[in-house]
Amino acid sequence: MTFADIDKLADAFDHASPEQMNDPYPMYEAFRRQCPMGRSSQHGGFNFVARYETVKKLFEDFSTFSSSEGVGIPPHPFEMFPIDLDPPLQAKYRRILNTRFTVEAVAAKGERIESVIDGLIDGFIERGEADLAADLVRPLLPAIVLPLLGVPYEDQPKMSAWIEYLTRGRATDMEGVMKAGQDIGMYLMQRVAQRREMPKEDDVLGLLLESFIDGEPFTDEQIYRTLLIILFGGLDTTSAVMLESLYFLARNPDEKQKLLSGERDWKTAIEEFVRFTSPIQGLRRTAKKETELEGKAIKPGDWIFGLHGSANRDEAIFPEAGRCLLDRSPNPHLAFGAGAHICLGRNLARLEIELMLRAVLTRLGDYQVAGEFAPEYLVGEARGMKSLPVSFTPGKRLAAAA
Amino acid sequence: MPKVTYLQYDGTPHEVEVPAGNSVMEGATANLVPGIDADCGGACACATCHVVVTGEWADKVGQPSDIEDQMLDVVFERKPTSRLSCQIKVDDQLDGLVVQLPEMQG
Repeated sequence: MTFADIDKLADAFDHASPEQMNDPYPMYEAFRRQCPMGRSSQHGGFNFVARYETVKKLFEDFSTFSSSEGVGIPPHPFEMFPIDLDPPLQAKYRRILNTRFTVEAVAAKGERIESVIDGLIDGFIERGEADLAADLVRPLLPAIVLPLLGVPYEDQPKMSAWIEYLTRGRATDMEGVMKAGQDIGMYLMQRVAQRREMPKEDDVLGLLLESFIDGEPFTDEQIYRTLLIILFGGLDTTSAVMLESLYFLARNPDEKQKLLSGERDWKTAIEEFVRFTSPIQGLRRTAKKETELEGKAIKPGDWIFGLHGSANRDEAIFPEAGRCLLDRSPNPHLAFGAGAHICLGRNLARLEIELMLRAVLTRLGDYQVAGEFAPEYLVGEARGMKSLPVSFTPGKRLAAAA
Repeated sequence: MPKVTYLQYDGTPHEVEVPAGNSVMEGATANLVPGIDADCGGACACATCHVVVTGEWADKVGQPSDIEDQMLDVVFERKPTSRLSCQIKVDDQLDGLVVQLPEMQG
């Protein structure tokens, strides 16, 4: 698609606009072809880059494009660690956190994840219909991530509400966002202080209480700012890939069979689901020095928004980029980011997605989405389907009814 | 094609051919040599492709840049000849290079 007035389209680009972001891909294609670095006047004005190679460079070259002034647009009103830091300090945080998110470390959580999934499916399997967003995917992630972090699961409803507000509200209600930020900050700071007085526990909070950076123990505030970004990262983004995968499989039932029979390699398929969804559509960097991108000058202090969502549809890298091809290989997608800040939880996300899809295909494999259903999306830096109503042949619960 | 040997922490050698122009990190990941994580993909940004250059190879491989030097402060048990393998480009001069992998990355 070619747009006659590309500058006008760029000027109006707003990743927080539901109208623009329900299906942003034709717009991204126009950006890649006609203005690979554009200038939007929204949210105080920012540059954005759309092509794969440029987005990758933006995220890899941390000495030119810094995270230390935040990565959201509009900015989050409070700092989070290590996402708002640059290497080498950022790497010191990651060195500590990485140990909890290796392939081996997350594999140890597999059985627990399966039992949470089965419990949630038990809740609706006898009905023969469900909203897989509300009944399965959205409750699933906090049930896994909160205990992993050290946040009591009974506090999940308020935690999820705060996170949702902080993710979606910045473009429309900054005052409300500030309030939610203060509330979640107070909650997490209290939790950290309590845990200092409690016996040691094997979770991320417990790990941070015992860790040092440059010889100094973590302060309560550093721990809270670290937990907060994991909460942001751990809930919304994985849900988005799960729902997009479920929707794709409903529309392509032959692919359900290929996954179940082993004809499709799960790992390869999941990377493609992740690329195709690109749950994080874009993140910001701030230029630290004069440079150029796409032949245009960048000044120190300029904001540049790198569009993962566009990079992952760049035909220069991904043939038939608009199609979800479950045997796509190689698949060097940027959905988990690139460079120093590559997604901490990517191995956990991959495992959660696989276990969820396996359980759904095994237990309600004939699920269908109504022909007239058209997905609607929650938008912002993160983009994910609002709901996914399905029907299927009712099945039996695995656990005895409570 | 230049050959590079990666010694596991326990001494097990992995000899692989690395095309000139590729990095020592790429040589490891392309051949599934265990012990190199390379989270950031070669951007000198994560310090998870740490190697220790052995013996007389240290002079040929040379010194880290300022940024790499800062990143090396993050690694587990930095040694005098520690390098980030994503920053060592292989060429004919380095044919036969031997690097030791650390006990752990990151």
